[in-house]
Amino acid sequence: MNSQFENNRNFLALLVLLAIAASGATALAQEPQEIRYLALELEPSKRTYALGEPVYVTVRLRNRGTSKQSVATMLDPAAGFLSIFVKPAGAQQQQLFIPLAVGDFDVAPSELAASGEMNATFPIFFGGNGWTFTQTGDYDVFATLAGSGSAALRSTTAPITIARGDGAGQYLFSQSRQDQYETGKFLVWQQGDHLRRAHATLDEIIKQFPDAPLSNHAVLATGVSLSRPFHDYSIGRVRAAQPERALELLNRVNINELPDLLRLHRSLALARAYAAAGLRDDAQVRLDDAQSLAADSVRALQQTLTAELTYDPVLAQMNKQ
Amino acid sequence: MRNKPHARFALTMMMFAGIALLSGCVTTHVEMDRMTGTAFPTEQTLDGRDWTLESIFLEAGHIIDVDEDDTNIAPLRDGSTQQQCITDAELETVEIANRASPVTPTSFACGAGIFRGTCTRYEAYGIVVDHVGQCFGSCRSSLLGCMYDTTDRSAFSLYFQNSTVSSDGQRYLRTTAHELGHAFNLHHPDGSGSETLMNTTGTVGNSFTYTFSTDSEEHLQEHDAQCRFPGTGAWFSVTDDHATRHGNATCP
Repeated sequence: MNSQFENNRNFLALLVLLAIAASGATALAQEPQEIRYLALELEPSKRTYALGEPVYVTVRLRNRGTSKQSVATMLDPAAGFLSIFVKPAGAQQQQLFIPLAVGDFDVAPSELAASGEMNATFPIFFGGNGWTFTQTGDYDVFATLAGSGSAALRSTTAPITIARGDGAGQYLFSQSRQDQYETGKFLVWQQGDHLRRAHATLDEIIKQFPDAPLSNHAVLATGVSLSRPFHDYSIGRVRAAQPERALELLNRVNINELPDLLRLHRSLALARAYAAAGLRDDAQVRLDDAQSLAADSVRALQQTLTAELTYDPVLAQMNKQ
Repeated sequence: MRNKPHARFALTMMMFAGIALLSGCVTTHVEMDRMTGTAFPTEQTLDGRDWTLESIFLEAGHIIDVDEDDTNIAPLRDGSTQQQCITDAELETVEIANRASPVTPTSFACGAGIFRGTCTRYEAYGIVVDHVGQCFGSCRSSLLGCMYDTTDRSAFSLYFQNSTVSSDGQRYLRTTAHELGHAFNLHHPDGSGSETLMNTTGTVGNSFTYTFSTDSEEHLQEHDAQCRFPGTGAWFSVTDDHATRHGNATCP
């Protein structure tokens, strides 16, 4: 009896296993071919931010298959294929992050080689709906990448904590909507002489909260802005680069907690400012720093570096020499 | 009794006139400016039909009025050289200096008699610059157009240093309609099908039409005005049914 019971039990277990395998195979067959071997990862530049501190994330698309895959050309949300969602802990619904710009480009979908990776780093702290993280607390952040038809690839979910900090964020979010928007734009664009409310707001934050991470970003953005001219059509004039002032600010920046993209921007701005100040050797050291930072990146920082070396007159001249 | 059919006909015609008046009462004014050395998009023939920006949007049920305004905005020069790439912040200053139309819609009394009502004119602004564009954080020659500030969906730029924009009239008109589509709160995933307007130019390749997809037309014709017209809110603030395609519902 025991033996027969054992046989029946084994047979039932086999049936269950077969059923599970079959359902798994069906699910696999239903998964769109184009996303089966693709993996999307989202990684914030750090785990905990102070309220008001700019949040940057890196998204990586990996091909785990053995053959190349056709993928979206660009992972930046401004290209319109990648969506970033932010969900406060305990909330029912996630919020879509809206990038500050969206563009049309004439690059055909690219092919991602087997075991290949493409990535992008971008800010998610400010966009079309204003500031993203206006409250302290825990948040989950994830991305989806649109595929053909309804197929969308979802990334890993990254937890982010927004801590109280030392009051800089509370000061920012107590200002008018216009002040907050101009400040957000200036920090995303790292320029904008016409954004006078942003300058006034950030000057006050630097004065009141000199050690705040937001102040560090404000000093960086101002330094980057002053390292190059600004073509201000609102007053019909080009504001020349101010290399001495830019160097003073950029050398004050604490780089320890900055994402690699902003370290790259700082190195390039230092190279530009040193070159404009006639300090060629110092400029070359900073350009070498920028190139080694970009060399560690698969794609995102390389594209930024290439663009700067092509379109920035000072850096393009240095690169030629 | 004999007059009754005539009266009914007259009433029907008046109703049609009223509907036409009311539907024509909601328009979008598109102010277009350009820098010296550039050109506005021109009428194009595709698939045996002549197309303009106006006819593209009329096909989707929208009356737009394209106003080619400034034609000689001089690019600012730093010394003797003109910058190759214009940033999003600099574009905003171009708009501040040259935009004559308001961002928000204007309402005004219109019609007469029993058809007297309130008409609404929405506003969008397009600028053709003699540069390559930034838009993705760094300058790229592959960029044709950009909505550089999504906070109010009211303005877009076209980059004449992009070789497609400067030398391919058909794609240039397509990109202009595409960018204006963003101002009407349409998104790249709304370009269902492979040839319609909200697909990126790089995606459609050599096969494209001047028509919006069914999803896009549904949005353009049926969704709430504050989620649809330029200058009424942030990009991606869409109605629930539109949101099911994008995973979000935020229309106020």
